Amino acid sequence: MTDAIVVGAGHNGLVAAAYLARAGLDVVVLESSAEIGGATRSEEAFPGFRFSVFSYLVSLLRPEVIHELDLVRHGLFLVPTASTLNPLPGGDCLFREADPQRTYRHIARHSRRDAEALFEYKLEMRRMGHLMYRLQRAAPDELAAAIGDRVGESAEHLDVEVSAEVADIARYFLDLPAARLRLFAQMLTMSSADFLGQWFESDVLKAALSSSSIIGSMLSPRTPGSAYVLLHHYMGEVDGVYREWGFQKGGTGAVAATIARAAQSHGAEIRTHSPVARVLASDGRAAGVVLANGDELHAGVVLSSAAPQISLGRLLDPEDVPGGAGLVERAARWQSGGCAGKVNLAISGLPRFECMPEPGPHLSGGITIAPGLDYVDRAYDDAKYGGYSERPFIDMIIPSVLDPDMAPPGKHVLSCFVQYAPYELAAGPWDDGQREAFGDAVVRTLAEYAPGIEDQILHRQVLVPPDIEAIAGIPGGNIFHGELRLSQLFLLRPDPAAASFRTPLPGYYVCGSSTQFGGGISGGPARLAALRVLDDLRRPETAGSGGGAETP
Amino acid sequence: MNERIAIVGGGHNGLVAAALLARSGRDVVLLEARPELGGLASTRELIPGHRVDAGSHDLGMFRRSVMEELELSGHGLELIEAPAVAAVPATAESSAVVLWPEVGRTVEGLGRVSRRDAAAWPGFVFELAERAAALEPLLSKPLELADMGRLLIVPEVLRALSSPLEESLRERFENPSLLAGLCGVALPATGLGPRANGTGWPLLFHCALGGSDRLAPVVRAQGGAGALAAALAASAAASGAEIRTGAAVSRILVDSGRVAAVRCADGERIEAGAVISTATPCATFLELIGASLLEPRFVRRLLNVKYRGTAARLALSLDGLPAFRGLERPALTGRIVLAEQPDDIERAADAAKYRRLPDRPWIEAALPTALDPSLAPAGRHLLLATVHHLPFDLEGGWDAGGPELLARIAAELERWAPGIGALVREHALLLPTDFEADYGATAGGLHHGEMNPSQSLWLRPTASAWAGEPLPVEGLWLGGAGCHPGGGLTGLPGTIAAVSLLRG
Repeated sequence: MTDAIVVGAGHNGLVAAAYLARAGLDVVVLESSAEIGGATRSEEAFPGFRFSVFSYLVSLLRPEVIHELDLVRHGLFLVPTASTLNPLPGGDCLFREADPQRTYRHIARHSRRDAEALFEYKLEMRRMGHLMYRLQRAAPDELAAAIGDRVGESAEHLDVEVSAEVADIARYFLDLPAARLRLFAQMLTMSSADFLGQWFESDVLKAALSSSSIIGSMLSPRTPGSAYVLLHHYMGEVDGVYREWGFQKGGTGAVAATIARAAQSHGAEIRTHSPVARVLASDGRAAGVVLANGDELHAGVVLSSAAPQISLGRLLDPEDVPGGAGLVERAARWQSGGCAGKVNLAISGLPRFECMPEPGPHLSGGITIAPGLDYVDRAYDDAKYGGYSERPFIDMIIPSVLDPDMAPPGKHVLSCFVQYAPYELAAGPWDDGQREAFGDAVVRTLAEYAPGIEDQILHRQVLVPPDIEAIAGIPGGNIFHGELRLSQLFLLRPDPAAASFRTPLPGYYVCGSSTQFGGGISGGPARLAALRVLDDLRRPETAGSGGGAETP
Repeated sequence: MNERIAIVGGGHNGLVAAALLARSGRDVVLLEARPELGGLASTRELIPGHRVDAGSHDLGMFRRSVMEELELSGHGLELIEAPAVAAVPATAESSAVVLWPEVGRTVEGLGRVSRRDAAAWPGFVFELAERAAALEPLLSKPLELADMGRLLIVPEVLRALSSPLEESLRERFENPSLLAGLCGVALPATGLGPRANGTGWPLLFHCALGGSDRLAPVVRAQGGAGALAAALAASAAASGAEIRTGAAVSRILVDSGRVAAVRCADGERIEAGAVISTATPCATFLELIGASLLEPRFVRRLLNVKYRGTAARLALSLDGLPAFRGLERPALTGRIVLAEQPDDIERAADAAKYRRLPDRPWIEAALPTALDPSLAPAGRHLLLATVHHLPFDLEGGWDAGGPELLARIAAELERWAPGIGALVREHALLLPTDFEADYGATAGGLHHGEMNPSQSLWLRPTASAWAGEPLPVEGLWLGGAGCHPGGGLTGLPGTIAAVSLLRG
């Protein structure tokens, strides 16, 4: 008898499955496509060349997930990408290295004041990142209840027990000095350009630092709210090194494979080619799922890692749940329009950047084309009115430098995350011609900074939001399953009625990127969702039967 | 300690504070640099024989309770409520839309352009009113962190604070003129286009203070906005306040961390135990107090306040009422939004980002004489065309930009009201640089700081604190539009300053 069904084998679905299986539940993961990984996937797109198809770096993967699921033993192998190069027009550049003194000198060439300010900024962001990092250890409803307890507001309606750990997090949050709370409030509402402007004057540095504030979001650094996305990207660490980004050996698909192995080691079963049509309800609670082929699979607990349009829309019959109509309506309003494309290039040799033509450590780090705030803003304006950016923002890595197995000897793969590419073009749906024109714009832009690269290209793969939607099953193709903005975070993510990971249908849970703080290869939402399931199974008055749970 | 309270600035907020404090028996002197009172809500003879409102002239958000307490009607204030809230004229490609205070009347008109929008209108107004009513109490007191906590558990408030206005409106409405009209009502103070996150907030703000059930009605003072200042001054004077015009304050003097006096430009020193400054926070601390007395961190905070989204105002004396396509005379009494679709505003905001003039400025027009003929000589009409979303730091400067802007406004007006050019007899143009030079509005920001979520509520300075930290000078209170809840003719920053000071 299956205890729990997890819909979707992206990294979050797999994390949830692993936690449940580890606790002794009999778990089946149902994946609609032929492969696991969702947006965390690698493939050999061209013979000998392997690509991380969508997501390309790892930093946000929660350390508790790594340790509790023993992911290192199952193959997690992160190579740090220690530097970021921002090529600039005219052969100039801004290079930020792991060595703070060298970085200081690079920045001081553009502004000595900014080089001085960087230390203070980093310290402040580290504190903010730490705050977010702690907040993310708590389920939103439990945290809200804990905060309510402390400020004397009743949170009974939240139906949750506050653990000592979460009470501690709430106390830490409320005891923050006013200046830090102000910074937090600013991060929720400000544009990243304004936020960074509080420390820096140089357009070049502000543009470079603001890159993290637009990744995956239909925002420019000058759009209010982008400061939060910046913060979201400051919560990561690799091997305990804060704010480090890492590349997974074999590509990000190997992260999914690692988590899958962890889940399987505890007995979870993963079935591909198994699209789920809807969640089965019986006597007012989840009873399993109906597959697209009509087969029924029964279980007392169902978790969906899909975006809300699917989890709370397509999979759920509004008749089965109280407030179902409102749930469906809100799910349809969910903002998850894609904004980014991925251009994967197979190249015959290392690119020669005008600013640093010879091979060197800069090629093993991130390379970002974002030479100024106006540049990025104009790229955004193109997409705002339904075009792709003629001169796009590009965040690039060369995975084959970090992991030679990604390409044949002497050859390389270049992974370009490109903004902006809207889900829908004003001119009509994306077709092959437009895809190629978008790819051309990317290559043209790269060639401005790395002349000759156009002649090094052996193969080119161009993916735009509808492709991400089709392959990873994310409606709209938004890599975070939904814009990261106040109205789609915390107690509103993915919906006011599902922010506790429970949905209005008892026994049915959500666990994907569209829950909690969401987004990125973190596994955090799924871990908390799984712990909530296990907790409910121990408290049958809340979630009823399901059975078989042991304390994790 | 000297018991005297000096108030810097005779805009409506300073006058409200003066009147309230004098009424409580305090010894008050108010100092205004200009010859006339009212500040950005003053009425000037910019065109001979015409009473031209230089800045704000809409009293729809002014607190009725304050009007009553200060007996403003007894001191000569007469209010006129416009029959229309807002109107968008027709063009060759788009239809005219009029929003009235009466829901049924609006629905009837909308029914002619979109049945869907007509059906959605009552629910929209009702829901907005409900949310606005919940917000209203928090806009009339200094905000504490706990208030923010309470506010932030309301999903619709979070939505307003973080979502694009256009996106929220499109969930209900489809007609481009209606969408443009609503964006035109909401966005003037923000510098942001309707596609930007957080632009839901100003509409909610307007409705919370504007009599929520009627969606920001237009209310004017008989005789122009200056009549409000005159009534406030009369009320203050009747309670014993001393009101001086032509008295520019050059310095707030601080002794051992406490205000001691103000010094006027002519050298006079006026002893004061407390000072309320209605200048922008930036001007108050950096010009009147002096950066040398302040912590560098605090100075940096001041320098980071944003003032984008400034405006220019063109006043035209016309030979008759202009013919805006598709609008009858009553529809000309409210705001007239000259934008065909939200993207017209978005593109204007884009141009400002790159420090350029918009190719086609969007205009908020008003015909004050349609409500109050006394503002212009017989036979003449006054049209005020306000262009929002302008860059203060225009590329090439305003000396060259002014004439170019004038030409573009004229072209736009002609497109919306064919034949208007032939009616023009005289004009006067106020540029963003004039607002700074004439009224001390830092960077031409008419609201003393953008009215965006990142500079609103708890994050906006209030009488004696700023985001949970006390202001660094004892005895100094802020009471201008740069304070919570912000700009517009509300009287609230002045009220909050007076009440806070009285409480000590």
